[in-house]
Amino acid sequence: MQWDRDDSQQMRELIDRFEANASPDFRMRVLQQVQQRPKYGWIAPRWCGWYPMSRVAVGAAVLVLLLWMMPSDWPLKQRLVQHPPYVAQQLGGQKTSSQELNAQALREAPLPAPAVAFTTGAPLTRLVQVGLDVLFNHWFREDVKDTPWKQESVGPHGKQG
Amino acid sequence: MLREPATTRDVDADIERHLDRRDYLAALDALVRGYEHEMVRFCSGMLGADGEDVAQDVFLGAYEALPKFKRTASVRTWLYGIARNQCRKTLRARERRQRRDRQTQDIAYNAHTNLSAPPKYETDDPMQLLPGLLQSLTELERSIVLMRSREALTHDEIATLLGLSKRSVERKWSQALKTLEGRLKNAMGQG
Repeated sequence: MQWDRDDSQQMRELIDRFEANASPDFRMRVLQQVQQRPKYGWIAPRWCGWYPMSRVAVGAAVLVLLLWMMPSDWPLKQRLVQHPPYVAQQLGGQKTSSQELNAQALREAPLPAPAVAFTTGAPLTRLVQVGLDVLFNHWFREDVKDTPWKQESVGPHGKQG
Repeated sequence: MLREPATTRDVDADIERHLDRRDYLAALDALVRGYEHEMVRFCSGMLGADGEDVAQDVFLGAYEALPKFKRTASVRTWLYGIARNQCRKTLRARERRQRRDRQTQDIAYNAHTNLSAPPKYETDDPMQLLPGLLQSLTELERSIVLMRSREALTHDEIATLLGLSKRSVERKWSQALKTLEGRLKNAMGQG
């Protein structure tokens, strides 16, 4: 192509000839992507799986609330937030015979009585706490019996042996 | 090749009919059919690479915005607005990545790539030189040149879209063309 004219007309023509076409399956890919995501609302990014942000936010809030309401001596919270005894165990803490005895005592310890919990705090908060208390005591019963830091909460049973 | 008013009107009318029925998926389908090549071309011109991927994001963004489309501007102008924002977002992300890479790159690599040196061209075909030359313009100039090419948008529409005066758009457009012309002549001289 000869570039002889000193005006912008030829440049305009050149830019008009600039081509970049979409691939044949472009339309299908766009429609597929759209069908994978919810139709309305503020959508989480692609790496979040296109969930609506409202759902992501509610899920995150529920998780934080659950964690916050858990008593601090529960194994899950110990592991997620206050994990020193768990870490200590990981770093080489050995099971001793006294720990086994304590675990035995823990197995025999009664579950906390939920009715007592209703006497203090905001009713809804206490209700949720009691519900969680019962739930986690059942879920983590097997776990609890082997956790040495649970000794404190066991009271006189923990000091046996 | 200029835009064909009848075709554009048909596409836009089709889209608006779907919007009236709140059938956003059908509206998107019509949007993609009518503007896919134009958007890929615009995004490729703006970014140099990844044009098709970004155009895909443009249509996804348009789909999200369809329920809020007020129809004060034409569909084409509205779509170019989304495309420009998407391209700017991609350019910003690319700049951040380049800055990070530059910070972490080792001395040997630094010695090999002199970023301030003028680019070397190995061809004198203007069509092959054009994509690289477009990248040498500022983002605003590039937007104006690509929106104005093939008479996709008028100066008035571009001015509204970019929040500039019509005179300012005209001036920037002619400046950009002159810049491109000068750089093309230099590159062809090199080739």
